[in-house]
Amino acid sequence: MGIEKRYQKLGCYRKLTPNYQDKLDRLIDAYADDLDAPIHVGDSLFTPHDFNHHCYNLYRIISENLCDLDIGGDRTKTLSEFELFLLDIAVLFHDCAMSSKVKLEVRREVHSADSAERFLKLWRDSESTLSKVRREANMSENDAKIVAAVIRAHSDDKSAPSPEKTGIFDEGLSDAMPSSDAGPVRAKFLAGILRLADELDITSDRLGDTRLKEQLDPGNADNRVSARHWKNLTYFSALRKSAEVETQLDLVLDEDAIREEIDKGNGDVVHAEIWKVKEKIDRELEKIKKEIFQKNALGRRIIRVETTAVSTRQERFKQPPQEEGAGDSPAPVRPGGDLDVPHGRGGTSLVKKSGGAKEETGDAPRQPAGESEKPAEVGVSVVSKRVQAPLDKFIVQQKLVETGHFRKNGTWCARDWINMTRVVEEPELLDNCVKAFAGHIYENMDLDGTIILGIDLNGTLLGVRVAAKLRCPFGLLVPPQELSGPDGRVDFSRFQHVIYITDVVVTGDMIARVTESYQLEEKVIGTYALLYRRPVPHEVPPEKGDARTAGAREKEREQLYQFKRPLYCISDSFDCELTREADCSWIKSETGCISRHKIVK
Amino acid sequence: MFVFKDSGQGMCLIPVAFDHMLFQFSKRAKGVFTPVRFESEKCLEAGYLAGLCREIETLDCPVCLDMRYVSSAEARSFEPFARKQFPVFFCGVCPSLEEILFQDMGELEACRHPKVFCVENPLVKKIADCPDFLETVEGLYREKIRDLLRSVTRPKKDASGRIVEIKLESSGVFVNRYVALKDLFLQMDGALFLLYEMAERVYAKYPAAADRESKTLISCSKTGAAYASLLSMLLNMRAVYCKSVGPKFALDTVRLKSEIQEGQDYIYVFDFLCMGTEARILHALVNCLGGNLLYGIGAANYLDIGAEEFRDSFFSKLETLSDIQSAVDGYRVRPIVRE
Repeated sequence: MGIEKRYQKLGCYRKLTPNYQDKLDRLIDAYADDLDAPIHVGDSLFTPHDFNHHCYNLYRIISENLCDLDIGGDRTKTLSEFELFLLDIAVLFHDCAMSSKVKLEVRREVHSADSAERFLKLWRDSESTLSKVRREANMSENDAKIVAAVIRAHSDDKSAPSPEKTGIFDEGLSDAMPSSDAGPVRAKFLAGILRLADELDITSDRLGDTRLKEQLDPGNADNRVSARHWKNLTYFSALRKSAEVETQLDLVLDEDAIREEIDKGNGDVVHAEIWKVKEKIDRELEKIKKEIFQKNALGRRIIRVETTAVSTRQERFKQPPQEEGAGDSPAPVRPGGDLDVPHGRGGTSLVKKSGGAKEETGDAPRQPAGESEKPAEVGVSVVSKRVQAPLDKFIVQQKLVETGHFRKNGTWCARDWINMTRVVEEPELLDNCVKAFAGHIYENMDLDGTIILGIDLNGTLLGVRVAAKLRCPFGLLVPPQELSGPDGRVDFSRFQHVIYITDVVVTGDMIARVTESYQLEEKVIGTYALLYRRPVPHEVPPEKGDARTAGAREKEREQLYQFKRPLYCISDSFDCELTREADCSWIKSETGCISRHKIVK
Repeated sequence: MFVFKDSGQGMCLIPVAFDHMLFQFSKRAKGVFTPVRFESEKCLEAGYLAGLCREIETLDCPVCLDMRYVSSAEARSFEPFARKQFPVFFCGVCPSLEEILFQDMGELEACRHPKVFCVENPLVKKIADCPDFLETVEGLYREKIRDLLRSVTRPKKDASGRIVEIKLESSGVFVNRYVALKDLFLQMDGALFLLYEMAERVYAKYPAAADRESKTLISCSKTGAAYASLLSMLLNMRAVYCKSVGPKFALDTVRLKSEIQEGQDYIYVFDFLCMGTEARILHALVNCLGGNLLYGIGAANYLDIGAEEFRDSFFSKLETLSDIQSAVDGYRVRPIVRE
């Protein structure tokens, strides 16, 4: 099996200068093939420890998830190039003793020590490629000690008299080790990265295609022990940075693989297995955080790894297995916040009730104005805190909040508005918002038979991009007053579900009108808006002779938020002050405000 | 897999660069939403080619893989094609890709046309060596575009089901069919195909990235804005949108001053150009605010923009993927006669 060069596209290779790249290439050319051998010990056929899958995955996880590879920057925030080079070498050799091509007797429990030993042997063998490369690079014996210590620390030595003193607690490993580079190398930190990356390589990406069938077969006598490990890999489709929480990595559950097991009646077994994997990662992460990451500014970024369901059908797998009766039933109660199926249809989208898992997701769900004392009817959720901050900043810095007057409908006037056209014309911001919406829709909505509808121009500009990213049908919703045009009304009846995308929602009356006009009431499963501007009514004491009763005014206020469907937004930071039209003193005739649904400065 | 069939030659054509772009959009399956762009030197991923190989197996005719805009591929990713011994041929193969194809697939036969190679197969060789083979490939693209236009062109019926003329107030004409290019988004892959073709045209006009980045896409109608929005995503260009431009609306030059910058170069993006009213107004507007409308790209046109009478006008700078009359038989326009 040849070596795939795709590692050369990853950050941990590309951030090296050509000199180091050349050396790494030579090492990989010389030793990668040795790793590609099935490992058969007793009843186990081990999951691949080869280069094309396992080592490559580690390079990818490190590049994309664990390391800020901005080489040459502030040393408290980035790795030095030499540290990265040593880490790359350690990845290549970390499992070199787990190959039957290299060692006749593979010893799983002590493979890290065996791998480190083999690495040192090659280092000191004057005829080896490793030795030639290190001489050309003027590397010293100190560098060999660092790499060997990092390799040794990537796994605990289960056969040692005191296993708790092995791995990252190994005496040969320290925070700063002398090297041939200008400064000391943070060996312990490198070991933490390698160890965590190794732990996280548990997605289906690790599966090779050639031996898969044989290895997954639990009836294979050679594979009684390890079949479960192989199977576990199929339950996770990807590892990625969380779109919600900056310091979190998400392990994405594989919908098809899990569904297949549920259909076979193995739902509870799969659930338990997934949870075991999650707990193991949590234990490992806690240990690494405590011993290494918290002492290092670089390491403080990753604080949590969560399993993430690609659809609500797998929501329950995010929670620990229940003691009894878990079955394949819908999502259980989540600690710290209920999960609630919103209006529209069952089991398609998630809305957290007020007071939900704010500390976990960073979301700030809350109810529309005027409903705080009532049972929750609809939730407003911020879909991405990471995008919210730059959006808020852009709006403030560009002074997009304009004051004046905007007649919203027959009842209310707004005292300010936000020029969202500027936002959708800002490429990077637009891209990030679109990505956040597309990601959220993909994870929470069933896209079969669903159309995304853009409301008004800005909704169209956003919506068409979201729909393109999802390869999902898209429609432009023309406001009712413009329906007399030549194109007339588009027939959306063949779609079972509708997702709206718009720029700003205040009272939701525009959405309500469009929905009524197109008769989509039963089909709407959610609305995505860049901004939810909580309507804040400005109360003026009723003038003498005002015919409206206090009850009528109260009813008006209750009806402020017109559209009782889940609302997902990028930001809810900008409340909107409203005044009753009759009380509006901006431009007024005897009958009240005289502006007609237009901006008046 | 995005594929179209040529019944005459009995072959299928797959626009590989575009199809790969769709694959990149589909990578959402792994929860990844990376930016997807039009690329002039695309590197094909092994995962994409493996999937393509599986899908080609379901086709029962020779397959032409159009490799324009593809410059490389991941190591050994074409090997499955060699193993399966598909009746395939490759056109638009650049030298760097040629090397990769020969490495992965062993011997390929060079055909009579430049940049065309095929596997050893008499039927495939016969098709690829046909003198008008390249014209056939171009024709397939043209026909696909026309198919898409036909699919969104519809007559209007009154309450009794009778077909009636449609009044286009702003253009001052009646038409017998409405070209609803916004409906193309209901079949998103089709819309993306048109947009990819438009992106190719813009790229051919401005091949240098810096040249494209210095220009801004501009559009007026909502559908035009939707096309401009996706085109700006594919080409990584800035886009602005002018609302309410047309004879029925007031020209709010004060507001448009913030959209149209003096000295800035613009590329007009439109969906369908009927009589060119919107284009004329936008051209005048951009000129009066000191901008430069250099070029325009759209999906279809009725007005004969290549006519001699427009040789020195802004219309000569516009380009479309197809004229509507060659796509839709019997598309007619009649002026509104004022009594």
